[in-house]
Amino acid sequence: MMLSGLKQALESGRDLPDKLDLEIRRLKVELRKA
Amino acid sequence: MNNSFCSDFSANFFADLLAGLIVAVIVALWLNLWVGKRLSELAGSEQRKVEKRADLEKAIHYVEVLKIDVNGLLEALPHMIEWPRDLVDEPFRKLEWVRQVGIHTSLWDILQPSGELPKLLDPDLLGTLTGFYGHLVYARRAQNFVTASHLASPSSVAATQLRRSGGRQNTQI
Repeated sequence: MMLSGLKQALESGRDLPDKLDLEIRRLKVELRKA
Repeated sequence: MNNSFCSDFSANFFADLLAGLIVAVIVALWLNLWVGKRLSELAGSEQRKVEKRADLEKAIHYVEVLKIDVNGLLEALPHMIEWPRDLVDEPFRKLEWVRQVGIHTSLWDILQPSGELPKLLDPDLLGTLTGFYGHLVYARRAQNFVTASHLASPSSVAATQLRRSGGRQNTQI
């Protein structure tokens, strides 16, 4: 159970760093406009 | 005739003056209301801008902190998943290994209940973050369950004896 949870987390989190980077860029653009 | 002219003139003059005063007062009141309304609108819009900027700055800070946390977890996860093969026949050491796996979701545990994230972040990103941390929370609950059930069961006594004897006996946990 624990291992399957960890494996699923690893699987679902693979693209998270890229998504977080994109979000930071989007928010910074919005901040410049505001 | 002269007298009549003066009385007509003064009557007209005062009537015009009165009418002018009334119109001036009405215009002044209207101007006052209009300018006041415009000023309060401007102040409100400025306030909204300041609030929006503060929200955006807060969101950037949250996402940067989450990024550090997620990167750390993604770096640690492969080591957590890697099952030490030499522990297959050693249930107590296996239990110890399970207990020592550090599944840290404290940042998410603080941020998520605050209810601020849905207002600040992109829904798609929020969904991915919820899935990622959800699996970790599930894994941690399973870890707690396994640890607690082993500690509570009679076999945990045998496990303690096994640890004391230095792992020489083969006890089933």
